Parts: sequence; C-alpha cells; structure tokens
Amino acid sequence: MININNLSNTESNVIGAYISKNERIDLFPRFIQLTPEFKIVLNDEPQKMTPQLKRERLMLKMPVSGELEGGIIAYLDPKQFSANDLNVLTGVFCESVNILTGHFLTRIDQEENLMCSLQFPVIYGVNSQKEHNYDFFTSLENNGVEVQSFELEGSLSSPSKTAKLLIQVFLVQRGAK
Amino acid sequence: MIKNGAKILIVDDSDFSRKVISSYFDNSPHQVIAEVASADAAIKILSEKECNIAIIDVVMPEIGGIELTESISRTFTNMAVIVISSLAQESIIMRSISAGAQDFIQKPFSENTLLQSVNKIWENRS
Repeated sequence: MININNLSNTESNVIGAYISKNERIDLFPRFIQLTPEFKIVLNDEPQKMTPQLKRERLMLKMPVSGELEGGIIAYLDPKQFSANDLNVLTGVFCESVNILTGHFLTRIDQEENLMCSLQFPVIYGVNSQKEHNYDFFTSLENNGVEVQSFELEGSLSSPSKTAKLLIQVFLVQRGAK
Repeated sequence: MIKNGAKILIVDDSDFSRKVISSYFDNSPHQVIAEVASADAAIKILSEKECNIAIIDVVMPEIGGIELTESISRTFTNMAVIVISSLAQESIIMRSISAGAQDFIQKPFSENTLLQSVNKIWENRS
C-alpha cells in the first residue's frame, strides 16, 4: 500500500500562504481555522519560500481564480521513489492534490462565502503527458484519515512506501491592494 | 460478463482518474466505450460511437466539463451526463445541472456511489 499524506506541521515543510498586507489581518485567522489539512503558518512571497523545493521536488501548480486569486502548489520528494515508480505515481500525485485542493476551496466557499475555481494544473519534473498502466493499490490519506483508496491490480517495485505531499497555498482576495 | 447495460464515456484529463473510474465498471453490466482526456476528443468519440452516459470532469484544459455538458445536452439529446469534480461549490453544482447534467458527484467517490448514479439514470431511461 502506498499512502499519500500531506505535511501540515513540519517546520521545514510548512504549508504557506501569500496574502497581501491589507487582507492579512482579516482573512488569515479564519483561514488558519478553516481546514486542518491546509494549515497556513507562513506569510511570504512564493519565490522567497521555495527555491530549494522548486529544484528538488516534483511540483504541481494549480491556478485559482475567482474571489480569491493565486494558486496552490504541491510538491513530492522524488527521492522517495524509483524513476519508474515516480512516473507511474505522478497521476496519483496530481489526483491527490486535485482532491485535497478541491475540498479546501469548497469549504472556503461554504464557510467564508468566497467563490473561486481551480484552473488546469501544470506539472514540472516529469513527463505528465505520458500514459501509464496503473497496476497497484494505493490510498490517499489526509492527517491519518483515508480520503480515498484506489484499487488496481499488480504491484510497484516499492509497494510499501509512503509519499508525503507538501502543499502551499498562495491566495489573494480579489480587489485587495 | 455480458455487458448489456449503458455505454459509458469517461472524460477526465487525469489518466489515473480515468483508469480508476473505468475499473469501477469492470464487474458491472455497463460498458466503457472510451476514456478521453479532453472535450474535443469526447466530441469526436460521440460522433463515431453510440453512447448513453458520459462521466465528465469539470476542470479540463481548453474546454471545461460544464461547457462540454452543455454541448452534449444540445447535440446528443438522448445522452445523460454525470459531472464529477473535487470542487463542489453550490454554484458549480447548479451550473452543471443547468448545463444538462443528470447528476453531480464530488471526488473522491466510491465505486458504489458511481454505480448507483449510473444505474438510476440507466433504469429511468430503459
């Protein structure tokens, strides 16, 4: 079984947010309380936060538009898997991020009445166009709670590893200066 | 297994998601006729093959899932659409239904949830 967990409290792998100064006071505390999986613990600009991560990790960027604008960036440490496994797992990685961010934005709409939508993601670090034959069992867990299990036949070369996702949220409320 | 149920088209830009959804129908009477990654590819398939139910993701490159649902509802009037998305804001659900979708299912969903939806649509149409 391969578990895809997100990191929410490791100091070197914080989930960060870039919010403009005017909005920070009003918006930030509510976001922190909103979802445990997207605990926002850092205010900084993306380029200042992630140079090392950008070099070393598989990265997925999902632009967000609407009443909140910005993006969600997720990272996977490729050193955890073989090259072949990583190619196969890219699809799981993308879908996992899609599920977690979709639920996050849905809660923002329900609890803060801020409507926003996800745009088509861009992935860096592997050939995302390649089709793969999936042949393993995996599950997506969030803070120890299973979100979904994916059951397909066969096995990976390293079937018992756990992959950890780092997810960063960069959102600015529309109209904020 | 004899596949005498609905003919299904899966439209999702994630090849992993397509494979998972397709596998949900392995032990069902329904037949997946194609899995495609874009709205353009879906329209091409629909012009070539008979299809009863399309399962369409919302977030896709170029033409989104809701636009595709609108197009299918206008052009292929006998077809049903199930919209799927990790985003489940009320506005997206309403837009999906207004575009002609028979159901909206938030990702992630189980095999049971999807089959129940497909079975219900198929029984109502048969």
